[in-house]
Amino acid sequence: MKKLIKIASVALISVSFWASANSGEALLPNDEMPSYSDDKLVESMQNGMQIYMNNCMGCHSLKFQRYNRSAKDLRIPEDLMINNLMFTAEKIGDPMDNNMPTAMAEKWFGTAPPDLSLVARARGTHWLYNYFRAFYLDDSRPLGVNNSVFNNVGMPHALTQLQGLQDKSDKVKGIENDIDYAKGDIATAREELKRGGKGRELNKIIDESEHLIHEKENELVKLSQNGEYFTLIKEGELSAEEFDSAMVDLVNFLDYIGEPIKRDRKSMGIFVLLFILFFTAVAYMLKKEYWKDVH
Amino acid sequence: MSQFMQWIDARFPATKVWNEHLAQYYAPKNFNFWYFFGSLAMLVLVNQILTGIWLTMNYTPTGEGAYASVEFIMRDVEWGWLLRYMHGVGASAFFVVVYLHMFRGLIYGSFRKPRELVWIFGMIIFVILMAEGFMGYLLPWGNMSYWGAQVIINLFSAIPEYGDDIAVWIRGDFIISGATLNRFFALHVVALPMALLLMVFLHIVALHQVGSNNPDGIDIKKNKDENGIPLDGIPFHPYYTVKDIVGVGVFLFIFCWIIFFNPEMGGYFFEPPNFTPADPLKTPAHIAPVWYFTPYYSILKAVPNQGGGVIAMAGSLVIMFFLPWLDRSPVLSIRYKSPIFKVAITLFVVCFFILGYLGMKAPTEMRAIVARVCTIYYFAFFLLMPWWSQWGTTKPVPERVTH
Amino acid sequence: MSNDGVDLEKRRFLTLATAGVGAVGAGFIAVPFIKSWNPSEKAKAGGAPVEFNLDKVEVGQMVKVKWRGKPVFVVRRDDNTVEALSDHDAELKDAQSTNEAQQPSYVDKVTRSIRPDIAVIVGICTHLGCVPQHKKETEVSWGGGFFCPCHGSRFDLSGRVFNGSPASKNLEIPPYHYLADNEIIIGEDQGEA
Repeated sequence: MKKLIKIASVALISVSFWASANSGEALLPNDEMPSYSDDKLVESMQNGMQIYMNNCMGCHSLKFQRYNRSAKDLRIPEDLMINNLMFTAEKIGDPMDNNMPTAMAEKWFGTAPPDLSLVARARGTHWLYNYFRAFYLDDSRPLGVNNSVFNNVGMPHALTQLQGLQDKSDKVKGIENDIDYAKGDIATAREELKRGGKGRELNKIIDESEHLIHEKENELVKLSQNGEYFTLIKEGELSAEEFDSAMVDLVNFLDYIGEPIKRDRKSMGIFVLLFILFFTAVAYMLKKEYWKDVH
Repeated sequence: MSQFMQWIDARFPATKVWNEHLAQYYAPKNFNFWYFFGSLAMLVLVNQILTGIWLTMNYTPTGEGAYASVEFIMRDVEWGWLLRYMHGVGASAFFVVVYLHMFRGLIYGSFRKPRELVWIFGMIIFVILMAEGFMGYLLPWGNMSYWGAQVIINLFSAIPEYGDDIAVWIRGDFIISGATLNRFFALHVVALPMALLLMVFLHIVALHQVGSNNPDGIDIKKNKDENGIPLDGIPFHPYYTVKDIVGVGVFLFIFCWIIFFNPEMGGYFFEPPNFTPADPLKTPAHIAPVWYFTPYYSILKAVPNQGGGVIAMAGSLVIMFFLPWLDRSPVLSIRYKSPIFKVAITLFVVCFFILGYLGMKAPTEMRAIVARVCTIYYFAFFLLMPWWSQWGTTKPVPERVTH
Repeated sequence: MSNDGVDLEKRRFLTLATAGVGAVGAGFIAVPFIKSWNPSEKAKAGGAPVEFNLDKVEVGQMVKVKWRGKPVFVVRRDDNTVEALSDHDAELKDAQSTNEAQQPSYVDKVTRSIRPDIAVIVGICTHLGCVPQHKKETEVSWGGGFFCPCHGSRFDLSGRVFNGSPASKNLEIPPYHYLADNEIIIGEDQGEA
């Protein structure tokens, strides 16, 4: 039995290690999203829904979810929902769709804005939280903005009214310049190697440049950790802290929409596990009793 | 009651079957931890069949409707989410349990004479199960489903001359489409489960013909009492039924913990890219099969030639069918085998895990080399077994089981 | 193996206990399987209450409204028809609507409606579920009402079944109430939000 427990616990530990080892790759910024629970979480999701319906719903439907389900789970009274949050649907039992014709949308935007019912499950909350906060000024892009989490993103900065507009800080720009130079050096060195240049010297340049890039990338991570990655160049309706907190709300809402049953299944699960534990205990006593016969 | 049973028994061998397979089926008394996984595999099979039937009640097997119908099950069908999680997590649980069950056979020599057919039937079950897993994975019609199927079906295009035509024939279209989805659905819910049930039946009939092996690898039928009952045997019912129930309890605890608290299992049981609908124009950044296929996928990738890779992958399964004739050791169980066996099998497990891990990762030069080394070991383990299994000194096997 | 000193009592108790807890567990497991057969959220949304404007119905006419996928007959009856409803009690199986499952408590027992002139009736024959046809007083010899073509059941203009019909229950009256003088909502009881 002792051996069994040992095997089981080793298995469990390795399984949970293996499960947690699947964290995403490095993002910039890469900030942790605060996690809420109970009433605070519900309030946050309500606020997130309001932000979503006012700013996102016009383009991005949530068509697998129904209004009445959201109303029930987020504790929003149905008449409040009908009057304040339902812009395109008629009935409270309707899906949260936006009636945007796909073909037209493709014409307008190049690609149809995707439905976001499951975006939190596909991307994860951590990614979303950083993505929403990573739009920055970039004149080279057709829409004037880019995103440091989703490079060359095809959508405008829909929340610019709330956030204002940010630019990469001078420090970041300087470091990125250095990295570009280093990359250029590597490329040139590789070219010359191909053409039969001096192997030892060129390889030394490549190694040093790679080392430099690595160091500079670490500096970028540090800047983002210190909140020095972006600087605000145009004020929005919300302060930086308010905007971050609004984005937590938005992500919490999308996380809920991704899997509406999530909170319920966890509270159910405790009861289920306790019951199975009880059953196993009784079954174990029965086994012990019968196995007294076996010598 | 007894009169009723007499009436039945005159027309149907109910009591006879009960006795032969449970109440008077004598199993060795020294079964250990490893012997839970056969009954657990049965439990998971029942789970898959029941939840599967219930899922088909709301699933739509068309390219247009499949993805939406899965979300319909997750949100609009009462308790639909639980049925889906039981089925999806059940698929992974099935492979966990079956892998452990097969490993048990490997270390205790349960495939050796006279249990060759038990092993072969079991291998057929394993292959059918892989087909079930593969086809079932297409059904949610997420982007990973789509591209996973795309990659695997394209393996057939490695067949010389006719390859491309065969791949088109399997898909029923020039790309994976609704036609492919529909035929996979039919096979997944009707044809393969029937084949699976038949093979499980044969697996058990064959096992009960020859009797169960045990951790000592001793034939308990050699030592019988005056009534012809093996001295080291105990009736399967009640002794092993009550024991297996405890195993079921422990299994259900872990199973339900995953379902209720962590159904995606960190992206291994339900992969994040599969929460995006199938898109024939956009491949996910990194395609990896579900974890239970990754060791074989690694072997496929390890060979730097498409045709060779397919042959190696198929070969890695085919070779296991021949295991009963490859092992030439004088003893069955790891307990009495030479230390060479212990080293060889430990290395085999390590290689299998490494292959599984590498199958999930994007290929790099270093990883390809490691995968090749592990692949070579995988095949050497089996192909050279007729020789190395005879090396070294074995320990003496006792007359009676150790309990 | 030995069976000395076996506590049969304890074994029986533990066997029953395990079986009992197991049966409770099996009951729990059965719940999702059984409940998943209930109408889905989609079906419920489709079965939501339906609003209907009575201006569309002329006197003596019948209009069909779809509610929960079923036909609901809305008939406007004139005063003569309403009066005639109480003159053929002897021909009816359940003239006083005693079967309470067939109509909400707030409708009249004879007119089987909230307002005498407007009848709202589920158009599903209580025999085997066919859709009856509306027959005006002038069309048939038996005073008009609803005639089921499948097995010949007859109902009067308040949906009460005639003697000699294979059906034994009156047609069902759905829950409904007035939102305004000429506006009803079908599928919602009076006083229900």
